[in-house]
Parts: sequence; C-alpha cells; structure tokens
Amino acid sequence: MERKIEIEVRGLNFYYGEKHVLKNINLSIFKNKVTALIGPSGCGKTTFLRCINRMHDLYLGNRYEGEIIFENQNILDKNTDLITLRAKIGMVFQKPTPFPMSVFDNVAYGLKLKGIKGEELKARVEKALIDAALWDEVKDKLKENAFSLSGGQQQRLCIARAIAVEPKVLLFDEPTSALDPISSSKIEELIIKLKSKITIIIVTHNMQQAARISDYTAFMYLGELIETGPTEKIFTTPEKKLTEEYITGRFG
Amino acid sequence: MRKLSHYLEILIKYFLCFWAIFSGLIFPFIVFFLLFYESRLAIKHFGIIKFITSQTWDPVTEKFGGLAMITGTIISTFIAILIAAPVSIGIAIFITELAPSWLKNVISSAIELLAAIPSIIYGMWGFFVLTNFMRNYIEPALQFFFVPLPFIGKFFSGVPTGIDVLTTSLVLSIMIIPFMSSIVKDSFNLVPLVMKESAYSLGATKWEVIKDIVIPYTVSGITGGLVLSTGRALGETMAVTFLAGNVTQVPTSLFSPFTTITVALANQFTEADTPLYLSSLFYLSLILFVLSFILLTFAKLLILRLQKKWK
Repeated sequence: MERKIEIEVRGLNFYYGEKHVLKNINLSIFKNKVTALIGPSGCGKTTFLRCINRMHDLYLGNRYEGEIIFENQNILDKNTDLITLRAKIGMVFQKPTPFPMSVFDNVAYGLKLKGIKGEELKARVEKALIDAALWDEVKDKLKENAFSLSGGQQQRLCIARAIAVEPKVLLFDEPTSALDPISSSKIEELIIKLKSKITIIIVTHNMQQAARISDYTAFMYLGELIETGPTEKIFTTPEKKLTEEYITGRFG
Repeated sequence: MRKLSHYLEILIKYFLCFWAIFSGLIFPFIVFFLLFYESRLAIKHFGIIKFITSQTWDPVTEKFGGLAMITGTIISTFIAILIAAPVSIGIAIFITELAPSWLKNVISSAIELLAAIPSIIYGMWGFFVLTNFMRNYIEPALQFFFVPLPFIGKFFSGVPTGIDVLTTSLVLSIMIIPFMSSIVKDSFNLVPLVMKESAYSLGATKWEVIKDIVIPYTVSGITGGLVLSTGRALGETMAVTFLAGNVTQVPTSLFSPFTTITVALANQFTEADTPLYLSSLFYLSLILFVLSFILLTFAKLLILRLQKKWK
C-alpha cells in the first residue's frame, strides 16, 4: 500500500512558559488517512494538535522546538505566514462554534476572507454543505441564525465551514464529546468520507471511536509519544505495556 | 449554643435582605415621590406639555419652562457620547486584543484612575485650560472648515468663546470614557476564546476577527455601555457648571453658551424665593430623574438581551 507523508513531526518540544508539555515528539502523518491521537487527560494530545496550526501563537509565553514539516517547509519557522498556514490546515473544535451570523454566512466566512464572491461563493458554500452532509437539512434555512440549528448540525456546520476553504489537513479536537450518540455517529461517518480529499488528525477520548474511524493511532502519555502505528495493530498487538494497559482500560 | 448561632444567622440574613430591598427598590421610590410631591405646584400651574415646550425661565414674572435646560442636557450628553464612543471602543479593542499583557494592566489602571478624579477638577481644568485652547485654535479651525458647508454649517456659526456646547461635551466625554471603555472591555471579554480561535483557524487576521466576530458578538453590550454612560453624562453637574455658560436658551450651534437641568438646579436653588420658583426647580429634577430612569432601564434590557442571546 502506497503511503505519502503529509506532515512530518521531528523532535517537537513545546513549553507553556517554563512548563515542558510536549517532549521530543516524532510522528509521520500520512496523506488521506485518519490519524487518531489518544491518551489520558492532560497527556498533551490537544496541545500537540494546536501546534500543527500554530494556535498557540495567539497567546504569550509559549515556545516550540523542533520541526513540523508540511509542504517541504518547517511550519514552526518564525517566518511562516500563519494566515496561509491556517487556511491550509483547518480545525474543528470540541464544542460547536458557529459564528453569530446566518448559516450561509458561517460557511461563506472563510471563503470571503479569501476574496471569493458572487456565484462562485454560493456554489462553494453549497458544495461544502453537501460534503458535510448538511445540505438537505439546512437548504431552506440558509438565512437563519446558525444558533437555531441543533448541536450536531452546528458541529457539521463548523466542519462545512472548515472544508469550504479546501484545506489540505483538518484537525479535529474531540469533535463529538459534546454531542449525543446519533449526532456523533454522523460526524464519524463524515470524517471517514472526508479522508479521500483531506488528511485528518483527530484527538479523541473515546477509544472505540479511534478504533472505528482511524487508520493510524498515536498513543501519548505525560507529554510523550509512547507508541504509534496502524490502528489495528495498536489495538490488537501493541508493543509497549503502557499502551496495552491504556487501551484495555486499566488506567486513563 | 447551636441555637443562638442559628438565630444569629437568620437575623443577619434578614438584615442584609432589608438593606438590599431598601436601597434597590424602596429608596428610588421615596426619591421619586419626594420630587413629585415637591413639584406638584409647578405641575399644576404649567402642566406637562407647556413646561417642556417653553423656554421662558423668568423668576421675576414667575413664568417657568424647561425646554432650554432639557434640550441642553440632551444635546450635550448626545455629543459627549458621540465623541466618547469611538474612543472607548478603540481603547477596549486595544486593551483586549492588541496590547501585550504588561501594557494591558498599565493602561486599564490608568484609565480607571481617570474615573477617580473629582468632577470639579475636570471643570476647573476645562475652564482654565481647555476653554482658551478651544477658543483660540480648535473652534476657529472648525469654523473655517465647516461653516461653508450646507446644512451642518449653521451648527458651527457664532462667536467661539470656548464656553459652549462643544467644550462642555468634550469634557463630559473625557469623564465618561473610563466607564464606557470598561463596559465595552467587559463585553469583549465575554466573547468565548474558542469563537475567536475558530475564526483564526479559517485564516482570519487579527483585525478580521475583531471586525467580524468580536464586535458583532458584543453589539448589544456596547450599546448597553453607551447608554449606561449616558446616564452618567446626564447627571453630571460640577464640570458642566463651569463650562456651559449658564445662558437659558436652546442651543442652536456648537458654540452657543447654554445650560442644563443640573446647572440650573445647582445655581438657582439658593435663589428660589417663591414656592412656584422652588417647585419648578423640583419639576426639572423630576424630569431628569425620569429621563435617567428610562435610559438605564433601556440599557439593562439591552445587556440582558446580549446575555440571553449568546448565553
């Protein structure tokens, strides 16, 4: 099976002020695959995820070391244009975060930032909503406030908003933890469908979810990457004892 | 002994409850009825419509109308808000979104200190410093640019003296900026971080996040802040007494000397020697009370709406 690397993480260390949160992470993220990051609370999964689109740069006192190679460039480089980077590496958050505007404007937001207008804008919004499996439910309420949608619909709206700008990579930070089981399974189906076009990295607390939707799994513990490999292997024959203990539910 | 502390607890509870209800609900009613009672003579004599549409204020013939004071109050407050609003929103944006964290605290505290300066000091500064500057530089310059324009030209006519609507509003605006900017700042801080992060994650710049997310999200909070500050500007007395010129006329230009309800009250209570004169002053204060009450209620409703809408 051919595997192309989309993102290569080499020797990544991350500090919140003095606190050393991520310790020497080395990981390859494969193109058009779903990579799940699992591990107990506070192990640094989300922190790691937020390094990939440099979200930590919004706050002071954070420091990166090492390299994250994406499109032949180290995105941790000081000269990286964060605006372009974030348009290429999108993110979906734990809770749905629709903007205080209409359904249409939510999806159109990122496109408008890129200067897309008129008929093309309409077409791209519609396509994103179709791809996010939301079009049929919202096509008659595009002008309504996004807050009027249900939680699950809001989260799919956020996914539509993120994929509308056609990112190469999409980061999911526990996207279903605030949703009911039915809405969650819709999101899971959607993630599996999206990977034909987009490389996906998902942080999840739910090990069944990781097993269901991911091709690769990385297990983290106390800021270190303990083990990584094909999901099937991690869940059936892990090499490290810690991984085995975590996935069998002995701690976490 | 357990019983004693139990009773004490109940006692404290009722004591606190009483003060809360008294200061929150009963006291304003007492003030309202007192004002109403004291102004009954003037209300009977001049009625409502006649009093608020007449600008004659003549203690000699005992003909009293509040139009000049009422319009003076509303116009100076309105212009003060017009000046203070953009400045305050700018300050709030700078503090919450742009300033590095060490500067944030320095600037916030410095602006809060502005609120601690007694208003009479603003009045004295305005009278001895600002009026000269306005008369000699700012007002002639404004006249040069605006008088030739149609429609708005006449608002800049007249002899600039520095003792006028514009200077008063400017000083008022400086006095309300601390309140306004801190209310706007608080509503900016209500915007969930993750909402801003979502916009950043789509490739928005800092300015785009402020313009598209922060400001639309807080629009009711900002409006509420504006109206709350209006309440302060309406009631301001000392600074305005120095700067308004105390001329009982409806101001027609930014450079007209004028008067406000508070200025009339401050200057004339000691001179009011007849019952009708005194009662008319109380009538003015009743109008100010009602005006402030309506505005503050309006502001509270707006803020409530913001909190409900975005939880």
